[in-house]
Amino acid sequence: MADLSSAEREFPFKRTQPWNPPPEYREGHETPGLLPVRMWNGTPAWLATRMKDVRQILAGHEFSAQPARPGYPLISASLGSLLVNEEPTLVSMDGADHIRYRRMLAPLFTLNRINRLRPRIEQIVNDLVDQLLAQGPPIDFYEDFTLVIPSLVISELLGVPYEDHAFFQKAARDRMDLSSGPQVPIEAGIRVAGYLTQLIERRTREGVDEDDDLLARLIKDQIIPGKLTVAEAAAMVRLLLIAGHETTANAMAYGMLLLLASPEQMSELRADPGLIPTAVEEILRFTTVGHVNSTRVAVTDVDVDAQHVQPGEGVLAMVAGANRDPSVFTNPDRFDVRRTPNEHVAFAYGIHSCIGQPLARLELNVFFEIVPERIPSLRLSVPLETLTYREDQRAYGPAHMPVTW
Amino acid sequence: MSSEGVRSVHVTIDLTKCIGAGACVRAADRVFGQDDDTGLAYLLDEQVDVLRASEDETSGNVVLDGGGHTHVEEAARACPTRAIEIETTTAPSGQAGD
Repeated sequence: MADLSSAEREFPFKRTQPWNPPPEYREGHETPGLLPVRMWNGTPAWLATRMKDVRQILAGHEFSAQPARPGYPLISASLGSLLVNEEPTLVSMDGADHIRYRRMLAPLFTLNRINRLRPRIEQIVNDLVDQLLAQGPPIDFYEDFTLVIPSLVISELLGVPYEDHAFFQKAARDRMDLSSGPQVPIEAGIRVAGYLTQLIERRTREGVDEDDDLLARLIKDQIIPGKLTVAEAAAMVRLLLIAGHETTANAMAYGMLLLLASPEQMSELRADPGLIPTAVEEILRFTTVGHVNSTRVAVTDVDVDAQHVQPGEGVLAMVAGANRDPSVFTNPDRFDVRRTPNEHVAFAYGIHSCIGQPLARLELNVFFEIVPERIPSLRLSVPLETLTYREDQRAYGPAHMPVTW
Repeated sequence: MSSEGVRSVHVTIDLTKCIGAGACVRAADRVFGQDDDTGLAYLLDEQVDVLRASEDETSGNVVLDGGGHTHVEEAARACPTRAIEIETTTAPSGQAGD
């Protein structure tokens, strides 16, 4: 039986093919127990890539999401400084603390409430397509198009002025960069928190109508009754603002790239728009843009598959591995817009599974309903093989995507 | 339709675990609802939490009367906090319900 002191291989692993997770993940599928690995700072951790193990770790109370606990595996120096030094938000809380905050946000992200945004999101995507068609090619499909959509949507949903989007996009990128030094994401966080604190204080003074937007509801339901401080609210809104940017934008661009590379599947989708929801689930599974999610530390003795994990030992429950588990998905490395069932964990699993998933799903569905139909000749303007990918960012996808039509 | 008789499904939601992710509604929107004020899940008809069902022969999922998007077992698996319990019993034909 392996033990953690034998861990030599350094995580994260490099991909050998841009569309497939590192080959070590397949080794994890095939090897009983968990693989011992070592983080950038020497901390050892167990790597889990099977669906059943990833689900067990993320659903269980045997594991903590608190990065300040000894043994917690930090993916990078930049992410480490962020998680350890900042006031914790719900993503780094356990149990009752977590549920208190999660329940404040849950009513703001119900399926009904999010689905009511559909006409507005359709309008946003259509307006952007109009602009691009008027402007003409070439464009960078990511920077000039897909990044703009979630940025507009999340700004409106939260009630943050879109005029400030350049500021947020820059801050979001700084926060998501795994390769930067420890100060870059911290400073970006301070800038955004300062901005949001002022915005919340101003809107509280001016008075809010509950139906305005998410910020208005938080002010009315949580801040004014004294259930949430302005600083806590600013940290929470910052989390939503940043989480809502690059993840969805990457899934859109990367998903479109997969369809452009499989013209027969693109044709099927155009011929039968009823396939779009199924295709979106496959895009979520296949791309798994949260490619270094999710990390935990054991708080009690627990067995995962054939491996005994001790309290204080870190685990890497890699959803990108689970989503390619051959015991769950037939031909897991094949992109198939007709794949059903498709019980993936692209939004993770357990109490920390993505709160914005109804919004991300809606945005992706609207995007793939409108764009292939309105820009039917869309294609890459460089050879597919020359594209590079965001391996050093927390959200994975093509780094640049020059397109024409 | 199974020849063994009528399968009844008893569904319960542990609201201490529910985080309002809405996964159950996506999987089985004729069984589960989501309260817009709390975000938490509920059974659409609380008076009828014992539901008559048949087995979908292709997927093996339990499908409630009416079929369609009513896959309760899928909902239980999809729930990220495992808050949904389902109990399936089989009664001889003609003896369950009406």
